[in-house]
Formats: sequence, C-alpha cells, structure tokens
Amino acid sequence: MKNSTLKFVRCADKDCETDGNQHDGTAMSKDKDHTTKIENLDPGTMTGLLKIGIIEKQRPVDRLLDRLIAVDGGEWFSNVIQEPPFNAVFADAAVLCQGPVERVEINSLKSKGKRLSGADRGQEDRLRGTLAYMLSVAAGLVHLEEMVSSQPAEVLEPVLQDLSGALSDEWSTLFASAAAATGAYRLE
Amino acid sequence: MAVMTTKRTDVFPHTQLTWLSSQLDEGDLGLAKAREHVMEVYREPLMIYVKGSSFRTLGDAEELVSGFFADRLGRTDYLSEWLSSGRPLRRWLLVGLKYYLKEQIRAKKRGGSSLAFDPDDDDQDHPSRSYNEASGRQLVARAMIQTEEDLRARGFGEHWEVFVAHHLQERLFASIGEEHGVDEKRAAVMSRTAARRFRAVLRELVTWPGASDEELDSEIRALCG
Repeated sequence: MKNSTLKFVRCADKDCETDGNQHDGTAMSKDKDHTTKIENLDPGTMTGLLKIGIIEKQRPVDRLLDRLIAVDGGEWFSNVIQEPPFNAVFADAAVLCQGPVERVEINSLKSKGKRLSGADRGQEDRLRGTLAYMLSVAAGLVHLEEMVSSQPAEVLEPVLQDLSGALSDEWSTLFASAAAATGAYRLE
Repeated sequence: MAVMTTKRTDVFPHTQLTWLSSQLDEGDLGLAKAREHVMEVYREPLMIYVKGSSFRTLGDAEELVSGFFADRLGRTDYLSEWLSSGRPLRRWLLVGLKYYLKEQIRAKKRGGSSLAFDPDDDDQDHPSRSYNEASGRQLVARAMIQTEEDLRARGFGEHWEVFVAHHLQERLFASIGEEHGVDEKRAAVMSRTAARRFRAVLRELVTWPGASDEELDSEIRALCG
C-alpha cells in the first residue's frame, strides 16, 4: 500500500455531486467516490493537524485523559476502579456512578486520590490518584450536590466534560452530569 | 456522515518504537516488515528531497531512493543503529541518503563520469522544507488511519466523525452536533477527545528513543515546514 493513494474521508454531504473539483468551503478536494486523498489536504489544514500533535503543557488530568482514550483505556478503567484506592473505600465502585454515596466516603476517596497523585509517586499511581480525585468530585457533585474540590468551577467544568468524552455509557453520563452541576458554583 | 478508511494490509501498532524494536528482534520476517513500513512512509519525502536538491543530476529520484533503501535498509543493523542514534527517523534517513548519494558520486568519478557538481560543494546540511512537509503529510496520513481504527475499536467512531467534520471539512460544531443528535458543546468535547488520541498517535509515530516532550514538540514544528 502506498500512502500517496490513501483515501480516508468520505464526503459528509449525501447529495454532493462533486467530481473531483475543490469542494466549496472545505479544506479538501474529492474523488468521484466522495473520498479525500491526503495529498489533497491544503497546507493550512495539514499544518493545523500537525499542530494538534504539539503538547507544550501537560497537566496530570491530560495524562489521565490520554490513558483513558488509549486502545485499552476502557479495560484499564474497568480494572482500576476495582483496585486501590477505590476498593479501600467502596466494596463496589459502581456505587460512584449509581449512588448513593456518603460524604465521608467521597472525602476519603478524594484524600487517597490526592496522596496517590503526588509528584513522588510513579506514573501509574498518579493516573489512579487523579482518577480517584476526579471521580470523587464528580460523584460529590451528582449524588451529594456538593463541590468537594477547591478548584474553581470554571476550571473543573471542561475537565469533567473531557472525562465524559473519554468514557462510555454510565460513566460518561456521570461526568457529563457533574460538568453540568458545576454551573451552580460559578462565580459570575 | 460516512467516513471511510482504506483497509490496511498490515497491522501497524500505535507505538512505532515498540513495534520496530520487536520486529528487529524477530529475524528476517520482522526486519522485512520494518523496512516495508519505513519505505512506505519515507519513500515519497526522500524522492521530493532528491528532486529539490543538487543530487537530482545523478539520475531518476525514484531509482536513487530505491537504491538507497536497497543498500542501507538491506543492512541488518541499519534500523538498530537508528534506534540507538538519539535522532528522529526523518533526520537519520536524510543524512543516510546524502551519504549514499555522495558514495554514488564518488563511484561515478572513479568510473570516469563527468559530474554536474562537486559533492564537496553541497552545503545542504539541513533537511529541506519540502522534505519536512512531505514527511509531515505521510505521518499525518498514518496517524489519521491509526486514530480512526483506535477510536472505532473503543466504540468512539462518532468522535472521529465529529473530528473530521470540524478539522477537515471546517464545519461548525452546532451543525455537526445536529447531525449526530448532540448539542454544540458535546460535539466540541467529542472532537477534543478524538484530537487527543490523534495527538498521542502522531507523537508515537514521530518519537525516537530518549526523545523528551519538548524535543517531540520541536520535531513536529519542523514537520510543519
């Protein structure tokens, strides 16, 4: 297979009759079968895609999001929530999603998460710690209607949204609901 | 929205280094797969480099690059040496190509051929802009294929479609969201998630042993041309 003949994007417009000419208003041109070749991407779009690859600053939650969206991220998540620090607080971590939870449990998970995500810990511990912290924040917002984090709601909301985007099913719903619940804690 | 990916004939993993290292440990078959990957990604950029440099007077660019691959990648330790070089593969191959072409020039001189230029006068110490851009195009193509496969494997095919609609088709999240039955904000989140995976895959394709995050950022900036 030669990359120069790669086709990877079919036109979004079902009624499009384009026959290979530049598609109006988009960054690509198309073949008769409505697919786009990589060499047909304009330089600006190509540069934009490359720039997505630049990190510059990586927060702990960014590393967690990268881990969750990896090919085995779903499996990793399912395993981790059955292990420390989660199983030290909850017999079944599913309660974080479904409720009910006690304030003392949420605070305990948050504290353990903070300790585990310290700079002196290994990468895997930091990932688990960050996840525990964020799950305690989300469960607190949704089930207790309490903000257990000292982070501003404006900072937390997009993070909770991104966690929702990186998870499936009820866990995605939990984080989306938590993101929505931060609205009550905004200063403006 | 329909999004189509060309079915790949091989299964290329997300971590180029891990994959290349494991292939090199697997004898002739693994070595052949590793060479095939390198040639697929870098053949066109190297040809573009030859065409844009004074080396083009040596002959047909495709033949010269094929000769380079046959000579250097034919050596069992060539890719192993790259893994311990501390350099991006892009630079390693370009430097290797230039050495190879200079060898060809010296061989022609020994054979009595006249040359249009003296290789000692070739002062192109840095990869050309067109080579960088072509390498970037190939790596983006690879990363897009891999990202779509990864996201669909995770059940996030719609995230990929939203990403494509926004970044390639330049559509607004409100319109994309309407198509996918989600609000504008959710569409933006889905796109960010896909972008995050794309970033990780691209960086894994670009990285080399010992590369820091800052060096990777710098390498990707160089690929922008």
